[in-house]
Amino acid sequence: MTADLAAPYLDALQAAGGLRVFDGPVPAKTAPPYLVVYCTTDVPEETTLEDVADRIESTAIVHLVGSSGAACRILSGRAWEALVGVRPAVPNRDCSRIRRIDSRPPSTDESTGLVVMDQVDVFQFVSLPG
Amino acid sequence: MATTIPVTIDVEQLEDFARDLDNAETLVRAEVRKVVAKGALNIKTDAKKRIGRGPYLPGYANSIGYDTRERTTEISAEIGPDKDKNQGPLGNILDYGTPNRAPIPHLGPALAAEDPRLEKAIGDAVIKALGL
Repeated sequence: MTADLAAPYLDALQAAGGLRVFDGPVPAKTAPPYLVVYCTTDVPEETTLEDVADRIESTAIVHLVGSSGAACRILSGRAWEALVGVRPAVPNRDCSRIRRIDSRPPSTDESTGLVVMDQVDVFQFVSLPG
Repeated sequence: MATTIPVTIDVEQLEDFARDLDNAETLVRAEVRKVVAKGALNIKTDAKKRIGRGPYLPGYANSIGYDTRERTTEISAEIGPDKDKNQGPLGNILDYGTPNRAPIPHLGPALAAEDPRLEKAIGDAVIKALGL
């Protein structure tokens, strides 16, 4: 199930072409540009008896890593085009369209051993049993 | 000459309702203030639970707190790590990760989990304040 819910993000970004996409942490000293995608799922608690308990929120935290702020913004635009508005097809789930719910501007990152610029965009879709 | 028919209208209940509406702003504000504070506390508690404590994060959870703020037309709460406290500056790195370290989402999911409860509680608070 978790893999099915992560696949729409990874597939769409890889299909965009020209984007180097990592599904998880990058090896040390990887040269930009590239994208790092961390997929998570969450099941918010229901509030009333009428609420559906198995509503799943699928979130992708996408690091857009470039050599400059401008490069990060270009990657951000490419990720937006690839993801926003897409309605994922997940077996046995009825999915909302993907939307961007958060964004952090580019900032310096040295965690890979190289000094790069890292922008974070967060995307999400919600699904119910189909 | 037309016959006049005396009509008497009892507006006592209408006056009571008008008085209730006059008082509503104060009552609603008091109720919403309580709901926002409770919601902020729930989010803080949930975020702490999600991040937990480990050998590398002995102090971070305790850096998460909240402040409430009240303006003329707004009651709000700010929830998150206090950067002046032990490991408080790690908040962004933990919530979003880095290119070579996976995130531990805790603030965003805690807010999302509370969102529907908060919305319902505010609705209930307004109904209670208006005596409906």
